Amino acid sequence: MSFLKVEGVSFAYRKEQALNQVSLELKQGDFAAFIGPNGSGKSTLLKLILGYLKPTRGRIMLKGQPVEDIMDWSRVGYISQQVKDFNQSFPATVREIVGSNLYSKMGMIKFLNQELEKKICRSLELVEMDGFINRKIGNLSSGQQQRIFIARLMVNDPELILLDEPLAGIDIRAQDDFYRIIANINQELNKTVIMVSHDIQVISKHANKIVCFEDGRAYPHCSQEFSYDDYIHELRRTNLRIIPRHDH
Amino acid sequence: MVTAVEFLNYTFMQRALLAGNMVGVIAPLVGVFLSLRRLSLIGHTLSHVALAGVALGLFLGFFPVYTAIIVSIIAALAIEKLRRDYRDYAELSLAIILAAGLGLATILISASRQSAGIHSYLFGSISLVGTRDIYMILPLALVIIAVILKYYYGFFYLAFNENEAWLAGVPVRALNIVFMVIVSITVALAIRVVGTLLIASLITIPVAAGIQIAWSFKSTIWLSLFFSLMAVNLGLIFSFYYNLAPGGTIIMAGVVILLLVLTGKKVWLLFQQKI
Repeated sequence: MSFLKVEGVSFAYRKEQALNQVSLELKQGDFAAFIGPNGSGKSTLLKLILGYLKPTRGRIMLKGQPVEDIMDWSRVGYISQQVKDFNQSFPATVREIVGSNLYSKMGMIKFLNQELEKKICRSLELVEMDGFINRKIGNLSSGQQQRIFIARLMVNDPELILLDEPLAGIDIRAQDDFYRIIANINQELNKTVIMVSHDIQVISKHANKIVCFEDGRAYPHCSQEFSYDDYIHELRRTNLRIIPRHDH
Repeated sequence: MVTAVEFLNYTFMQRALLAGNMVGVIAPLVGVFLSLRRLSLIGHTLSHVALAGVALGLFLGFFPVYTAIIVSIIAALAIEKLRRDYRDYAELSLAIILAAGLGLATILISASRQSAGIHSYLFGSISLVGTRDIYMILPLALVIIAVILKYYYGFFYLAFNENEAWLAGVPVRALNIVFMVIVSITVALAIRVVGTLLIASLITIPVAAGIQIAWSFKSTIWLSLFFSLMAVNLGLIFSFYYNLAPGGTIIMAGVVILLLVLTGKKVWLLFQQKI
């Protein structure tokens, strides 16, 4: 049984078709990269997988269960494009930010208890930020903040991780750290990861599946068979910035 | 012999201090969440609507705080609906409700035979805080504190990122409605102490001071509570000794505290730089 199955999914924002008959399948432990120009439907598919939007046609199954029937959304972790757009002077510590994601696991009174505090510590260790638990979120660098948001996502031990352009505005060194942590979560913890990215060159080194989006259609490839030149051709056609390829 | 705590010998001051301190607790408590969600204008709007509720009570001959609570809750639910439906024009809907509240209040005040009493609701009046006020403020304030404690992290998530709170299992819609109801009750209860025109300030000024020096969300709440209670007690005591309007004195005490906090922070930062 496939872990995630998208079957003939179409979606339209009012009259504008965003996705057209998209189908793809992922196995548990896959690292899939969604690449393509702006407005090609990548983020829309993530929102459909999350159940945030409902497909106009087709269906999406997570471990054999239609996503609209999923009640426990802590099974899915999501980092949106807007995650970094929070109020930087918001007076909250890393503990409070990560802990807030445990809302559904808190008791009658929605406060953190010792058991949940341990989960926060473990999650921070996973992203190598365990010394930062009492730091104010706004005082951290954007790369450190991004790791805190991964910790916030991992605190619920999700089965599927969705990352929507998480590296925009983050420096190269912090990007390397990010990929190292995500690779660890993907390979050591066998978590399925879907990441939307424009950086084709870097993501194709990490992902085992590449799904190219264009005009609301998705073209799944295996990364080994993925034709970089074909995709560059598509990008040129759509006037997207082209990242030069280095031989490696 | 006149003692420094002479004011405690007066029953009306005991009642005013009790009511003031309860309001002094709930106002910054809802104020922290309201300010961090950048919804401070809602407090201001609801205070004007509460004035219409007071005027309605005076016009119909009911206890004005009851009608203020009911009218504020209805307006708060309407604001919440408009805020959801017109996300890009949320401020416009607030301005319309504020204007409608004030317009209605003006008509009802002019039509009411007891309009002389409206002054105490506009600026607050400690001498008019009666036993009936205490019996209403005390249980409702306790309910508000209990609701905030129960849903503490839910309200926290809504303040930090309302759009993604549902992913953590936060019942966003229901909690937003609960939040709007407790804000409107807080506004209506504060009428007796600071008056409708100054309620929004009691909700925001202690929080503004707290945020400046807080090191966490929890500390923001504790600091805001501390500054609010300080402002309420200093304001009431000063208004007693110098025969000043309590609402204005409380708010000015809050402003002085805010200025001291801002100055203190600036001095501390300069001191740190020199080290």
